[in-house]
Amino acid sequence: MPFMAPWFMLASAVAAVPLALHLLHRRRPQPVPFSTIRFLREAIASTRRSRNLTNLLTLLMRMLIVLLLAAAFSRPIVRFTTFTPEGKRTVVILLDSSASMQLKDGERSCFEQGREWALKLVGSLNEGDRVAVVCPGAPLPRVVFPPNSDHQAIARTLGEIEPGYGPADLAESLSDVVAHLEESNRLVGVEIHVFSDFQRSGWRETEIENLGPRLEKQGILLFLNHVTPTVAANAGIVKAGFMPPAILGDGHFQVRTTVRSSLEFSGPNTLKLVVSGAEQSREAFRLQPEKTTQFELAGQAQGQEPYVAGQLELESDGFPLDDVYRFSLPRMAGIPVLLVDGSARGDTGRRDTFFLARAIQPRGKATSIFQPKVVDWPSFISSPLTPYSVVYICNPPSLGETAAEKLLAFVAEGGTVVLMPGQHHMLEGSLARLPVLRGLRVRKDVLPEEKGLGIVHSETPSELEKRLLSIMPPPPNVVVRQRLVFTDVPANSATVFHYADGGAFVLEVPHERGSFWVTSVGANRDWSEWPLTPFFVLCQQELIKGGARRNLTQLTGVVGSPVAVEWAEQATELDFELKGPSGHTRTVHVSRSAVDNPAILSGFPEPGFYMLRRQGKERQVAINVPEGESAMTYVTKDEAGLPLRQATVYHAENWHQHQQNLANLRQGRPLWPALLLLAFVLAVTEELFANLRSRAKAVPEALRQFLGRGASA
Amino acid sequence: MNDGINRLLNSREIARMNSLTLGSRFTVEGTLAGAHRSPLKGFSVEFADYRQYVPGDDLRHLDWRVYAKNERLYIRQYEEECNLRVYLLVDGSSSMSYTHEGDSKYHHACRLAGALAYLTVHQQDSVGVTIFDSETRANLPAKSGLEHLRVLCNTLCDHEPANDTDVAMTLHRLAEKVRRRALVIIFSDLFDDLERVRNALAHFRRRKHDVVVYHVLDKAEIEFPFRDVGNFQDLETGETLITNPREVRSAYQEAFADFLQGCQRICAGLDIEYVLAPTDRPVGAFVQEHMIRRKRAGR
Repeated sequence: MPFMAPWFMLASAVAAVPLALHLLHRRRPQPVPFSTIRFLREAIASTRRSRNLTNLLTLLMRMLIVLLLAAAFSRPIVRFTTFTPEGKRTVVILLDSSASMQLKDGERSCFEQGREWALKLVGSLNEGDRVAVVCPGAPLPRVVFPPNSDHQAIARTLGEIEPGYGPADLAESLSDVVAHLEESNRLVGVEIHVFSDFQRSGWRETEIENLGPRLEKQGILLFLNHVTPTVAANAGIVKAGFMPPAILGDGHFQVRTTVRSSLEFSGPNTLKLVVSGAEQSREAFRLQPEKTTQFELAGQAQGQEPYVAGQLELESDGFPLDDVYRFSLPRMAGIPVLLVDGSARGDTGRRDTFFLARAIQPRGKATSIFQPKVVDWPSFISSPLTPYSVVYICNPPSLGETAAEKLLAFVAEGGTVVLMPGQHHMLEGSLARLPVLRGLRVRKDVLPEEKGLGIVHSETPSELEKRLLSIMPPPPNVVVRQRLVFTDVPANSATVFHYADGGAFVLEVPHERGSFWVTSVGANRDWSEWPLTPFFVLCQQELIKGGARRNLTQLTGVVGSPVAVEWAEQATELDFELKGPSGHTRTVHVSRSAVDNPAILSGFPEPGFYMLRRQGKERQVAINVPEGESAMTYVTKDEAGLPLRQATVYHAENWHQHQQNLANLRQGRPLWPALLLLAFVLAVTEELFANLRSRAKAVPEALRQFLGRGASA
Repeated sequence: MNDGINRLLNSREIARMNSLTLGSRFTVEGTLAGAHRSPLKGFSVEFADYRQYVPGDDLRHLDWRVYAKNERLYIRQYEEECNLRVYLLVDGSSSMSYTHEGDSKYHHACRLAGALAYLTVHQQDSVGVTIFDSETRANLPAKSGLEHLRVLCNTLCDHEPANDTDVAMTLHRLAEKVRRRALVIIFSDLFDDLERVRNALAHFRRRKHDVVVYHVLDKAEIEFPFRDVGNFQDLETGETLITNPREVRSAYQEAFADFLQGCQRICAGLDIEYVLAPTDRPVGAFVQEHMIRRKRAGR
């Protein structure tokens, strides 16, 4: 056991003092005249053994106290099995370079603090110790692997790293590092030092949990260094929704913006909507801590460009990246929806398509994103479905082979087909033509009297149910005159809402990239009063939105995620010229499987506007910071350590604690506090022991009786 | 009042004594007529018995009425009442000189003896005193009168405890000397072999003496309140013993309690009145309390 101040061990000679005092005390007692020592002699004789024992114990305790004090001042240290000799360690620095690390904590950002901390760690290493650096989330990958012992080069690399604007997958980075270390077979004295703010959104417990046994098995020590800000005061734009999601008609649009404030933020703020460089509206408000607030602003697109760019702005704070939300809206004609009247009786079919057309495009306004087109059955058979995303089949006749193949191909390519019931036997016969719905049995249930039935959502709501529930709950009572009852439903089908008595309201049966929807009631009043309810309108609109995504051109995205851009060109191999916000231009190659498919673009390392050009056409893509990076909610030490309980993990909140962890590990854990505590406990025990021993027990009963009686006979 | 008693008692204590009486539980033999029952039949006022007339009897005591009825000569006998003789035996050995606070045990014993002597003289009885250690150091025969009380008190005060003690042997000797039944009051710490003490006390009882033992002890001897390690020196033998009082206090108290219980048991067995007299109790109140309790007990 090494000692940090061995000269203090000389003080252990003081342990002889109690012994000397003890002996001196024996030699020079004060003379005490006493009437008779006869009882004293008896008492001494009867207590000799216990007195000798207690005296010995007292002496030993006193000597031990002095020895412990001397030992404590000489600062002994204990080294554990994890102790690694100097110069033989392998240190991996994992510096989180995600966007959230750019939050300013005072004068410096968390990233700068973390980097400085990492540099101090490198400076504290001994010659020969090997260092590797991994920076997840950095815009330019800076990885030093395998580890090397050129500490100056490592320090230079750390100094050159700039923080990124996207998320950092710590779990994946840690897993990669461990995998590489396992491959290198040099797993003696390996330490992984993670410097991160440990944003809650980026700490994936399940994957981290899998790392624990691997770290434990390889004997790798994990240092989680929490570079969290002292005050995480931030207000940022979380997301923005546009209605319509593209510029249509007169160019008027609404923006619904969600602003979130962190736990330590409160105060006034202003949200501005800037379109094509001009401020169009603003709203002043006051934010409360840890609140999410929604605002609606109205905008008006100018000009005739194929896109309209703009941004939402909040007042600047410690994390400016989420104070601006950029958007780029495509200008488009709308989403075409095909409403097929399949009935032989035209009037009935027209009633269905009438209600559907009104629901999809209320009051027939051209500003609606949806563009319904009503066709009869022969037209449906003869015309292509390519321009449509969603096809409604109302009162379908018995499907012929051509129609069935057409619908199957349409759904396989990602289309959505909604089958509204007609004559039940005809529907069942039609369904038999579609392999995916072949087993489904349909029975028409005619209710003898008009009956109000409630519609309720599933226990685990589907995506459509969630969207609808967030806007409006399903009607608790709808008059139903007849309905279809489904049995033998396909295994992969999902029920979207159901009647209060258990029957499915709508069935969704996925098929390849798209899906078939079968409703239990038609869109006319012969079946129910459903078409007259607002729920009907919302249900159709949301269903179409969900199914029509492939027709929507997306020009707004986040850092680190791909953006799907609709690009009408008869080519599958596309080379785009991409000009970034900093002015740097590069060529991006995109392959797509079909000419109808959007071009999936990636490689947006920073927020801002990117200009995409090809063959004279251009689109502006707006890129923002990922939502999770601005939450500013952090994983605590306990929460971070919980999934890693099988591994040896050290937590630190500053360099001093980190240094202490390292000192304990590399030099050993100081024993002096334990020794001082033990000495103190011994001193207290000795005092108590002495007092207990010397404190007169209660005067014996016989004596008390004598004393009480005084002159007694 | 003379000098002697004032050396032992203050005026308040003396005043307390004036209202008390000291009597014997048993019959006593006195030379003078007094207020105490005698074992002898005499001719006082209390009728006791008849007996056959024998020549030489005083014809004044013949019961002529009995003779007139039976023509037999009977002498009327009466209880003889005599004076009380009190012997105060005071232990004057070295151990009695011990004090932890206040009066020494010997001085306390002298004050108790003085109080009882005053009480005795005050009720016209005789009192004698013997101071002893291993031998008899002073002896005053039982007499009455204030002059005798003065001498007695001076004798008590003039003695300085200095020698070893042999309570048993001395008591044996004194028991031999006191022939007539009397009230014998012993003031001692009884630091001797208890069996021998028992024999000596039994000697007194065999001689029909009424015996009272005032067990004079210092409170420190009972409680052993010392804290620091000390070299304890026996006042009689001069022996020394080094010990830490805190370590042995409990055992000491147990041993001392055994000793006290032994003394009490011996006295109870011999029909001797045992009185524990700690030196911290005020003499006047203590004696008064004792006399009242003794009177209530019919002693």
